[in-house]
Amino acid sequence: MTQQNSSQSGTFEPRILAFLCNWCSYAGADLAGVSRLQYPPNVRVIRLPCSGRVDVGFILRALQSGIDGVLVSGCHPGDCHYQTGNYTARRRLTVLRSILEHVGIEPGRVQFSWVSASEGNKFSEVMTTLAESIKALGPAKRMVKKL
Amino acid sequence: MMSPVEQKLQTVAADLLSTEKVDLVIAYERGTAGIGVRPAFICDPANTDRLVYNPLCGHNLSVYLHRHKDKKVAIVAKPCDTRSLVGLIQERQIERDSLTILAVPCEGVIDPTRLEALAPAEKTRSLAIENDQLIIETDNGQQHTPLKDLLSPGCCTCTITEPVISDQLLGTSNRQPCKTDEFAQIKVLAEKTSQDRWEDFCAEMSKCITCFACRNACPACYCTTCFVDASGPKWLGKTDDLSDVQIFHITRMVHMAGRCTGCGACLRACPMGVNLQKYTGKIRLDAREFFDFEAGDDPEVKPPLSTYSESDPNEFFM
Repeated sequence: MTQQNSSQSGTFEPRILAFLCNWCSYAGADLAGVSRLQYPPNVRVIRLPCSGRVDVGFILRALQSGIDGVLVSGCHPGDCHYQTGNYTARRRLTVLRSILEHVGIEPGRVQFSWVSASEGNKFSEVMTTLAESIKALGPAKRMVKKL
Repeated sequence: MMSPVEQKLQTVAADLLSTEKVDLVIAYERGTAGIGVRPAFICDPANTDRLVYNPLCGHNLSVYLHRHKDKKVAIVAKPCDTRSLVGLIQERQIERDSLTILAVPCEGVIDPTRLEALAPAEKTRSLAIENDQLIIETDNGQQHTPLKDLLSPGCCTCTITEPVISDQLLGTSNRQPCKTDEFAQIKVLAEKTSQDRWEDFCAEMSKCITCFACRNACPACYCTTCFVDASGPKWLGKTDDLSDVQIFHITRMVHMAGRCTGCGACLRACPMGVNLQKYTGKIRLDAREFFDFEAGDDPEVKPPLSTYSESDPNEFFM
């Protein structure tokens, strides 16, 4: 994969990893695409069956590999395809977010959203805000593996 | 000289074994070095005279229950250890009916590192505990030290003076809950900037040699294959890069969230003196703040990360 980097264009283009649930957020991304809505091209999508599938290890490995920002997005509470997947994910992510803040990972490096299948607009807005906030944070340095 | 608790422990253990109410007693016995103790696994009532109980009995014995699930077990538990037992019952790891809890009083346990610093093994002839004093005999004579100066860091802020569950009380203690705020250092960290917290985390983590002693000593860490040992997917890199160490500790914190009872077993097990209270304390505070949950209180309640509520915090979701 060709990687955007700051040296070629002169500006920092972050690499963002998005974990999207199959039933809502991924479909929302699809809708944004077919509706020709624009959003920054910094994001790489990994499709998962449910936001409840997100293991904290995924997020930590992303940060360790030098990803500048991580987004986890799923169905709105109450709309989970598997009834409760996003509720349990919410608890786990609440804990992870608080721990990352406690150990000093910049708040905003890892973000969360609920985007439904009909919210193509919201998906593009979330991506725009996310890309802007990660650009403002600058390249990830903490917890990046050096070996 | 045997203390009343020790006497009662030996009698009760012998009785439980000889009447076949239990198959195994998990308690403490004298170790091979110094006055140290080690866990004892007694099946024969004739061996119960080996059992001891003193302020050096720090191990949280509930960690050994996973290996004896097929037996009826009697276990010696300090007040904080009973909270770990509650956690295991909550998570259906042990059956309450096959467990006999022998609750012992606790005045705080001695930190082996502090003891070693005060009385290095090679210079010490003998060590003895008398009332609340530790008597160290060296070539230069006797030295008396109050036990409270040698307490394990977790015991200096302990608020758990009564067992949560027990079948037999082997003694009582007049110990009052400590007034020192056990979360003080976490509150100090919370005031700092993200950069400062990161530096603090790096400094703390650079002490860690990833020996996983904290995991092994933890009663709540019982996965048959721990994520650190898994090879597919390999969650944790096997290098000494700081990020691997940090990922180990962050993942362990997440796994412990809502489950850590703050027994301090990890703290005492750490050979490098990593201040793990900074992290275990944080997840305990979070469990209180986010889920209004205190691990180790009630065996009937589900641990917070096994359940959910529709009214959970949601404000950080875009």
